[in-house]
Amino acid sequence: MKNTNFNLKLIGALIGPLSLSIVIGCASKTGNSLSSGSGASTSVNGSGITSLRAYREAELPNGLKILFLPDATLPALSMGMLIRAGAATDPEGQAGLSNFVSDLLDQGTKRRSANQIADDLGLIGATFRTSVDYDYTYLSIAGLSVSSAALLSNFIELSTEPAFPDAEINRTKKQTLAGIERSLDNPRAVADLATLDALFGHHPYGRSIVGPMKQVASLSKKNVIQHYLRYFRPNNSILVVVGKFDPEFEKKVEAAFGVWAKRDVPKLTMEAPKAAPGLRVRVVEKPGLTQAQIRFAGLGIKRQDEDFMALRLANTILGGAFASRLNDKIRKELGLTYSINSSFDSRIERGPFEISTFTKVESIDKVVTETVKLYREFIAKGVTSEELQRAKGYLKGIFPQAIETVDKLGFNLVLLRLYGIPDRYLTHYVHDLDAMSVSQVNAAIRKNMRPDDLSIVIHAPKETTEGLKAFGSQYDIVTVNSLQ
Amino acid sequence: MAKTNRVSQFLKIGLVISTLFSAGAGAAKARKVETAAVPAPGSESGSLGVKFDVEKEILPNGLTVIYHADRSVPLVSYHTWFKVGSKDEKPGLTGIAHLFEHMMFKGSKKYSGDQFDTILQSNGATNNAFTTQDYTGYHIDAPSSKLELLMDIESDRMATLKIDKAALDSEREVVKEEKRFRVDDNPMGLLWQGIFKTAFQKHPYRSPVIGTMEDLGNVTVEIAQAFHRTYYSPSNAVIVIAGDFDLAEAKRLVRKYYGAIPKQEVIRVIHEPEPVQSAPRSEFVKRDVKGWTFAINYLAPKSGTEESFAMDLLATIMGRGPSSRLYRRIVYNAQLATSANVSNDTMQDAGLFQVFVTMKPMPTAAKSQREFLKAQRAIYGEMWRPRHLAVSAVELERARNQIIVSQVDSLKTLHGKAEALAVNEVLFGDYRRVFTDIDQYLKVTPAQIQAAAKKYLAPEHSVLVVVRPKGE
Repeated sequence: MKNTNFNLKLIGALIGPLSLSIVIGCASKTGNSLSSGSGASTSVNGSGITSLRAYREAELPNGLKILFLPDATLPALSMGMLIRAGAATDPEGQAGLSNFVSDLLDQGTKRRSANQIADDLGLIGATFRTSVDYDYTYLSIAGLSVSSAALLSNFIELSTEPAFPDAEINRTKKQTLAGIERSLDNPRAVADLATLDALFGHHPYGRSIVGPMKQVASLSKKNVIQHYLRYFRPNNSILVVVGKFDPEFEKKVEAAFGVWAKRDVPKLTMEAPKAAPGLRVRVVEKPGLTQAQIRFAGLGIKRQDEDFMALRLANTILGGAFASRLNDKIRKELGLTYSINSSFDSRIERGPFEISTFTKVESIDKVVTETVKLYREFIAKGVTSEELQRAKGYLKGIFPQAIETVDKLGFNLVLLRLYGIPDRYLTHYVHDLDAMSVSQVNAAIRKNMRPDDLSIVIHAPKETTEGLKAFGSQYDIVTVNSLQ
Repeated sequence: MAKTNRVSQFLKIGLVISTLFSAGAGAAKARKVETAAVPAPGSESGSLGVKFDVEKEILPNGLTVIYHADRSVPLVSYHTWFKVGSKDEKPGLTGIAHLFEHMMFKGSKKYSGDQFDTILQSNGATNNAFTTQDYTGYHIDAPSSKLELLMDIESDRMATLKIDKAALDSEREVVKEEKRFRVDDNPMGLLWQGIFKTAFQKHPYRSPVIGTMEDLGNVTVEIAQAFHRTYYSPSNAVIVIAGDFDLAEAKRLVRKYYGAIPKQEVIRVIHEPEPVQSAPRSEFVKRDVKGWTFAINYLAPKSGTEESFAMDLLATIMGRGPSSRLYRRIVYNAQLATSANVSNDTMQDAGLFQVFVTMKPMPTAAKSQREFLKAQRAIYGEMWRPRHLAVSAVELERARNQIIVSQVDSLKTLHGKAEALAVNEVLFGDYRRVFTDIDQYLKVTPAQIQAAAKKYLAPEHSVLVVVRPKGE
């Protein structure tokens, strides 16, 4: 391949099952994948999308919000449900709980065993998936529209009637623990995990979504049930129904989910993460690697930040797309890597800003020095009007790609609701991009990006990093096993 | 699947990497199926109609162009595939097909240097490329208003690519980094490389698509230029344009931009089929990893054959998802592994039926060894069953439905449709296979599956490749 896919989020989803397919359509990740209307009824003119594909939004008496997005072009049907609880909600000492609960949903209900569920879903070719992020848990089921009734009954049963049998808790726990350990064989996963800790420390965003082995090992059935009963409530969830269905089916969905009992749900609160001061180098040592995985991380912004759009543009210019300053310098000019990119992951609180790359161990010093220099220059001098024009052209142009399927639109509408962003974000996206000036973008860069505060994480044999001992205010070495 | 289920070896590795971390998430789940469903399974027939309009033409210079007009979204997906892959490489030049793919982004007569990416990007286009054993594909997704620009830029590099030494040297280093990333420091990449090297003793499929460091160093400007001349002739290419355009206008533009590119003679070596294996083979790779990962492989029928459809269904029954036989046996019941997946990877000249297993880490080397042997025995036992007992009707129906759903899913985007058309045209010279694959799957009987299993999955045909911890 010519390059790694810039649409994919490589960070954060260490073990989150199947996060790949879902995150492609996620609005807030690498800066080029938000979404808008879909299908024939989307209207587009010179200034972009003017109206979204028609959808119906309902709220049931139990507080469940439902979005219906019909699309009859393919014989497919899917349903997704966002629960407002994720890795950041996990109680102290129980990191990994949200992920563990979501893995257990299809491992037995009050009526069927894990194997029966798998067989039944397999028979209609359906897949049930769960994905956990810091701010939310997302469940989905997908299959053929000829199986719509079965898809609905399965989805309801798995999301509202899990039984959490002891045997499955034990089995899933062992699987998860083994999975965590095996994931550390992958250098990219190791670097990502170490970066969370280096940047956020004890803040909930510093946890691994799957959790460290010790805490996962201690999770009890009581923890699981408490978490489930607390957060899996209609008034804490948003349901989206997408694909080929008729109004009759909508009524069935409403009736079926209407009996789900509501309850007061504690509001997710967390303190603001604090930026660790200074330039700090952390080495996760592993002998024998020929290539170093390198991360540069600082605090990014909240999803609701008024600078969101300005920084999306800024990031595109810095390293959010293939033709960008980082890639032009480190890959094209110096030939030192196959991939370098930057991203903001904007969440309820300030998520990470990250530059991610890798290079042969002989070039570690060069890549670190050049990247930091480029990053500082970017902040000091800002972007040019020519660069801004190009970035606007890019972001405007790829906009329709994200509106292509109702699945992507549905997921993004749900995310907007999670973060309290109106649909106007989509309908005025192109207009708002166009309106952005060079000075606005540069002001946003200066305000939000800090040239002297960066956590640098290098996964490599330790002796290959010694040239960086004096590079920052701190240099420490940890082992891969310390990340378990 | 029957039509080369995955587009690129590199993609494959990427997909396997991504699933390495999710317990039970299947490589099979990540498989790309590139076909269109026409009928419905079983009695539901007719309600599943997936069909789209396609037109094909061949220009006098041999260029094949396939059009699928769909005006619902203002987008176009533009694919240019060449019938050249790593199997066409000469000894000492492994990796050239892929390194050359990188060079296609380094400038041509009209669009020099790095303008390619800058121009496309500022026009709202995303692009990428991939190289497989059999073919090399370039694709751009863009606003449909940019169609003419895409043709201008793509035809320019097809006809007038420039290769200079500085760019080649720099890109060679980039590719070496890609190799370290995908293979050298990556257990799944090492496993993958070991599989092809061991399963194929004669056929060039044994060489890694990414090449060796040494061979990458052998590619000179002259050799790269000759490669372009030899394989990038319009007569060796298939273009697929899918999306929002006027057919007559698109045809006019195709003639304007491609009509004058001269045809060149394409020299193609036909490779002897890989000899049938008479004794089991194995290969052990030791690395600093926390547990064992292994694959058991069997040479299988090539893409598009009747037998390959049967093997696809069998792979699904054996190891796709939590209802599959191997998942039940070694992941769920015996709890030996964190994942077990089976895929039937089909290429132009041969296929590989592959069982991938990620073992749980064990506290001692002796225990690792014991658990591995247990898992291996269980798998060989499971491989015995389909050779001697027909699969059940329920299992077959489940497999069919799983495959149909993935096919429908892969056609949700213009990009997916274009890719499906391209792969069928490149491999078989007939994009229409997109519309008949489902029928092929529906026709397969349990007896055919058993016959294929008997023929291909005998113990003497097995190829075991293991990546295991160094200290053990």
